[in-house]
Amino acid sequence: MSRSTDSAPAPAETESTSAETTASETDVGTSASGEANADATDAEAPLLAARNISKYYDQSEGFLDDLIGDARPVRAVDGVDLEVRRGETLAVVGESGCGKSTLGRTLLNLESVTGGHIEYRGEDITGLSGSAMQPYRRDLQMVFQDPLASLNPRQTVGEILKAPMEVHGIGESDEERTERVRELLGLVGLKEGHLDRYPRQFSGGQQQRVGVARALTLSPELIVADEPVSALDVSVQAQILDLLDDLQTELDLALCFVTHDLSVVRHVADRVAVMYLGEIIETAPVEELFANPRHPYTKSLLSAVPRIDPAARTDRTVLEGTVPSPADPPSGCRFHTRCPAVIPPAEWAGTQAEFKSAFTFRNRVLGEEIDPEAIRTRLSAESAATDNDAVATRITERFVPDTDAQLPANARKAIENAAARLANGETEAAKTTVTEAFPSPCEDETPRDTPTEGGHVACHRVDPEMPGDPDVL
Amino acid sequence: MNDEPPNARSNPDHERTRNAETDGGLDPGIGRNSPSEPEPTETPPFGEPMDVPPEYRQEESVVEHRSLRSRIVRGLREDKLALFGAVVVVGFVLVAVFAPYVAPYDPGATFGFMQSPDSYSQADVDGDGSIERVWHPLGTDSFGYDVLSRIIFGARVSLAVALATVLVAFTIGTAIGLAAGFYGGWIDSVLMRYVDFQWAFPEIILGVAIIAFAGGRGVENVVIAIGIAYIDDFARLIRGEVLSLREEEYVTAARAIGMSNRRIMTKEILPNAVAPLIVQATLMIPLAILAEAGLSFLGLGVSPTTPTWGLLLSDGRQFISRAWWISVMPGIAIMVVVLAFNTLGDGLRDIFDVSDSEVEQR
Amino acid sequence: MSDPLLEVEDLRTQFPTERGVVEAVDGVSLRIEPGEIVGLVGESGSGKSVLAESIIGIVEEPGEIVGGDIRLRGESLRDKSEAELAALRGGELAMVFQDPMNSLNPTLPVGEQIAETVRLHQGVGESVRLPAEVKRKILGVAKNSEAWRRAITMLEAVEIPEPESRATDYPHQFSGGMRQRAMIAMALSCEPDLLITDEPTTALDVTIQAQILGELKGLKEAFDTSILMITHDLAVVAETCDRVNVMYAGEIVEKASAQQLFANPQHPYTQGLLASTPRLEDPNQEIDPISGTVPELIDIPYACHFAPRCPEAKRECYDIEPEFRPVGEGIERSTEPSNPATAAADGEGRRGDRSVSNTEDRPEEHVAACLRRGREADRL
Repeated sequence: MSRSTDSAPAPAETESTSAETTASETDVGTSASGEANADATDAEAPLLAARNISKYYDQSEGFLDDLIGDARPVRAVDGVDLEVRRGETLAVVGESGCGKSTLGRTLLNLESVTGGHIEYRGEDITGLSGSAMQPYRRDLQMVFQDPLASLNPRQTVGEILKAPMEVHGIGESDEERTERVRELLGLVGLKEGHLDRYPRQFSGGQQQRVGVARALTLSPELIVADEPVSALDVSVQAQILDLLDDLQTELDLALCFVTHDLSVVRHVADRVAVMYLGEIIETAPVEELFANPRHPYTKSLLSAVPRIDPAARTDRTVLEGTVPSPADPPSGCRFHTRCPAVIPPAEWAGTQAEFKSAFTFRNRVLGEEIDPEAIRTRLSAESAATDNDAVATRITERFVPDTDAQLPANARKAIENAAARLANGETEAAKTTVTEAFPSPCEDETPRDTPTEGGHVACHRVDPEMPGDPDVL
Repeated sequence: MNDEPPNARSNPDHERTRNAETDGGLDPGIGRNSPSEPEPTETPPFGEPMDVPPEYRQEESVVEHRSLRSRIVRGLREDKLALFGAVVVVGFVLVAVFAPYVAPYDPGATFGFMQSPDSYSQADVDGDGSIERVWHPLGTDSFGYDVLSRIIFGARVSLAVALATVLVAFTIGTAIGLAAGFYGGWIDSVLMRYVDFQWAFPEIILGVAIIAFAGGRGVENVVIAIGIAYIDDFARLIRGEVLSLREEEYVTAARAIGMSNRRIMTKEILPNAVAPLIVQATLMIPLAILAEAGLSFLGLGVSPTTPTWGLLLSDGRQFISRAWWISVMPGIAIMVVVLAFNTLGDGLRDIFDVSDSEVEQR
Repeated sequence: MSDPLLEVEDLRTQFPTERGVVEAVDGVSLRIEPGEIVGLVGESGSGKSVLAESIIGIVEEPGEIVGGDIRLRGESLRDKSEAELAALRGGELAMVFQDPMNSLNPTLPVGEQIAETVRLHQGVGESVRLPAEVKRKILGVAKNSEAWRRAITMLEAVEIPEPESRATDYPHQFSGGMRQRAMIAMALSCEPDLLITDEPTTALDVTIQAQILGELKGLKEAFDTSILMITHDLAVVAETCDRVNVMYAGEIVEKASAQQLFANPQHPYTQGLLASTPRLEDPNQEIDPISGTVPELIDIPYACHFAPRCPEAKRECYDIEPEFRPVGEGIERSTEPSNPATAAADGEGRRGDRSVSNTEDRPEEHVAACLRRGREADRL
């Protein structure tokens, strides 16, 4: 929230960070200047770090499901590296279903990870059970999206706020804890008289203040805020954002702000991580991300946000299709099925837009979105010819976007070929045709994290070792 | 901590006037009160904002918090049928508690046997040696006991056994269901397989088996037998509740502050599952009364001499053609009290708005 | 200027509750011209959804319209019987709700639900004899019927890929965005004159929102429909609407063209709302919240409902009912002076008619209901 742009840029690769940390720790023991050195690195060392963490949800309910059903696990979070540093606000942005909320909960060990490690101040806290995790809970807290749902309806605000202290044995007596609760209420802008009220007796904004107060009772170092303002009205949302901002400055809190709202991100975050289908595809300091987004997904996301100021409106990059299932993510770059900047093969003769058009057709064939029989019915309803040729023609007319785009002859031919096969009922053959005709490096290889200005991007176009012009969008 | 210095956007008067929906009147930026942060510099173009003038100030109205008890009281006032059930239940309980004062005669006192209802007999009731003319509103039974007095004393045992039974089932069933629902996994599998196993047995057969195993009749054994037989109903109910409550965000919040599982179960989950439990318990009591009557009828009741409704019913069955009232009168008592508990239970279910599927009614 | 399509005049809708009468819509006037997209912005509790329900006549019990009038093409809807209103809904008036899952029948294929709407309101090509009715109930709408074809065309119009096969899918097989598209298709299937959308994109992701808003604009042209768009999102309004009404606590406080409203907001509430909305385009913006929240709409004693939250409120704001005055750049063009006589300097007439006269309510004008705004403001 406080925009500490002077903070050091994020190390591009997590390995290098740990290497640095280890090095500095060795220094402490050997050199006289070790202490200062350690302090300096300590400021940069992450408070909380996720190392390649994954969270899969098993869909199967037993061995029968394993045998017959669709038992592939949902990969909510899949190989995420993330660091939150002291006092900073890291925003995790993404659309619904991208795994951002799961990531938030996994960071706090509220969900067990499927793979990877979570480190708090360098200590591995992965999979710690209730009592072993308890000391860390004082430092790591959470604010929830739905303030009412996160407060027990049968407890007064006083009881809710005293519980964390009771659990952690803070305060000698009930009076002492009540006193501290009074302070907290003041801190979040509620009144002492609110102590004996029940959650339902508050407005949404006040409920969220209670939620924030609860997170503060243990004086944490880091708060994961999962969509803390999305359930609130605009004016109240601004109040809570203000409150979080002030508290952060005052208490030197680190915030991991999980949200879908890019406008909010711009105002609260120091650094941003963009998620798509369980992966982080771009991280950058907030100004850098908004001024110079690198990943095509980030670009289209930004372009989709409505703007009040007409002058600030940009050409919208409309994404085709819907988000693929996280149980069966696309190969290579997970965004390649919808990416407007999907990289054409080296031999492609046409333009990027033309390739995108052909590639969209290909994905529709592969996704079995085209039903030739339905088209035949439609044609017959229109009293048109219903032979295979007519169906094939209709398929190319309807499923190749921008039909005015003059595709290269061989591409046009491949599309017609595939359409004819579809019309003929040879779905698999049609799939083979389009796969062979329109390959892309994006579907083959998982993009590497390429270091950028203060962050990194996982996109082949940005990777200097891969083909593709980075500035195509 | 927050002394609320006068601030352009927040002053106490201003706040007081807003109603329940106000956001605490909040000073939108609390941290601004700290010395390091300057006060907001903006000044409204028309000068200081006006306090809400006194005549426009409204009382802060807060949405009423309804505790379980106040919801019951309120609901009963509106649902006359349930209220009637409650009155009958309370009436029976009072009669049972004060049986010695309410019953016309000692349950062991004998009179002319098999006298029809509304008849009279001669007996020395108060033990002063003189013979009085005594009235038997519900007649006498084959031993010459006064049926009304027997029913009143029988209410004691029957209701006490039923309550104790439900308490046993409630306690054990809740514990099982809570653990199964909360921990899931193998604990859930083991506990719920047991519950399923028990569910597959008719209660009465299970009761008979347990009494046989426990070594014969007696109040404790009957209570344990019927109690155990009803564990599954509570266990299933509470497990279902816990499964949904476990996913509530306030439970996640409790885990996030490091609360122990035990505390989460007892402080966060259980209080929110109480309403359906109360309904279930109310609906289980008549079943327990019937079960006790059934066991007594089979000769496995509390004891052959202690009057319980089931025993009364059973004793009269061989005379049903000659003296119908011996069985029918306790039967009516059972029916009335069972109906009363059921209407009360249904009423409570409506009050708590618990759906039928949540409370298994059989 | 053509006749307005919809005119709402001094509409009042109230809900009796245990704690008093909730005046959810408290004297609202607005008009919608043919072919316009009109925005209605407000926070929750402003009464904007109740206003929409009042317009299409589906106010939930025990709510009731207690005053004012709603005219569609000059014909009062308040005079119409329930049956006549039902015939209008889905026909000339259609509505799209925030949560499409609640408005779609989960047990019927999407195409069939659209076809059913078409059949009910237009009776196209389907027999209404009982045997046909029974057959339809059992077998569903015939796949070669005109109504079904219409359903397919509509699904295609809202850019649902492969409409023929998707039409036989059930709502749960659709993604959120597709469901909302299906709802729009259903609403537009009878070519309504007015489409009311209540938070149509609030539950959707931004990328989907962008698609649907874009489609709505296109559909407005294609179907020659006016749209009343109800939302809390100022940016959505800014991008889609021609004119905007800002609603607060049961009353409309400012009306203007979208361009004027956002370039030059006049009512303190509008200003506050804009100041508290984080903007993507402005990195240096200070978010400035409005203190407090929307009051409960029960017996609000003060004249200007925003007064207790207003940083500029003065004594008069509590006493004198504000009326619409031309403000902003519209002032010069507005020749008719506003009617100061009704300003009730003596403090009476707090419940005064806010609609003023129609001449003042011209769509191109920018009016705000605030004592401190407009030509007369300086007399206070």
